[in-house]
Amino acid sequence: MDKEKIINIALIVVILAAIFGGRYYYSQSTEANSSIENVHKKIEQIHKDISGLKSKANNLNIRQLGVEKSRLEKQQEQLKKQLESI
Amino acid sequence: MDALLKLVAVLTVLWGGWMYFKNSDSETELRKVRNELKVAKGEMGEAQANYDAEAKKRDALAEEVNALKEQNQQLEKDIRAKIKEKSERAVQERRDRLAAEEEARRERMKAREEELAKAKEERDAKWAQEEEEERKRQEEKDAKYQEEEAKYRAERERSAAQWDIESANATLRSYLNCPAVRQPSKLDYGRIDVLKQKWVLNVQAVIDAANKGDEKRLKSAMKTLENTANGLNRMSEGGGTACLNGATQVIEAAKAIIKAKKRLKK
Repeated sequence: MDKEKIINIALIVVILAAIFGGRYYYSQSTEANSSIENVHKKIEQIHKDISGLKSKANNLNIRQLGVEKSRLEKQQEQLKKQLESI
Repeated sequence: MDALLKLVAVLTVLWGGWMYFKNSDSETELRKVRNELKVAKGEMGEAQANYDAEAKKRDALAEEVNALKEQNQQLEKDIRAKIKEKSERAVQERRDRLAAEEEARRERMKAREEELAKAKEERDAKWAQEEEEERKRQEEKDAKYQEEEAKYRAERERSAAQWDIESANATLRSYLNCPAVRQPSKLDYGRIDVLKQKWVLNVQAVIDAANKGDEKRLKSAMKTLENTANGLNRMSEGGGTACLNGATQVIEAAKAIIKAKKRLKK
């Protein structure tokens, strides 16, 4: 076999290897991009959930309850005094 | 041909290399976003933990607030109950005080009524005694008055009877002289004189009998006097009317004397 044939066969092998390899990586890249997009969506959803949780936490009215508790404690003191004075 | 093959080989190798690097970048990017996803999940866990803590805090506060509300409601209930009890006690005390005052007032009224009843009894007794004394005095006075009136009536009756007797006697004495008679046509004066004297005697007899109260004699004397008067009238032939009238007067006077004497005897 002459040198040219061997080279040609080698080139064909290279070409085939490059084609299969490129195709494999192409599919991997496509899959990765799809995963990236999904992960982005998940992150976005998580951020929305975090905002929702913060909003819910703000709507728990803890400050209002604290004010109400303070008012009720003062009222209780007054009621106790009134009860003792009767 | 060789050149074309080489060119294709080069191009395919380049394409394959490009795909490799592209895949490598995608893998790198994927790792990067997965790390970001981990971070986001961590933030999410932290946010959830914070929310849970806040919710727990809020639940605890809500429980405290509810407990305070219940305690305050209980205190208000106790205050109302105490006020009600105090009010009821005050009302009961006021009722007891009013009842005691009413009882005291009744006792005072009872004592006052007894005192008034006693005073009334004493006054009635006094009045009854005074009325009895007054009645006795009045009875004595009435009796005295009636006695005096009876005396007075008796005296008056006696005076009247006495006066009647005296009046009748005066009438009788006025007839002691025989009334004048018409002279008869026949000459019989002697008998007329006799009858005149008899008249006088008859009248005297009537006076005596009447004053003595002898009714039997009086009746006889009156009869005799009537006979004498009739005789005179007959003798004077109807001219002795005065004698008849006189006899009637004498009889009436004598009857009056008898009646007066009966009144004197009463």
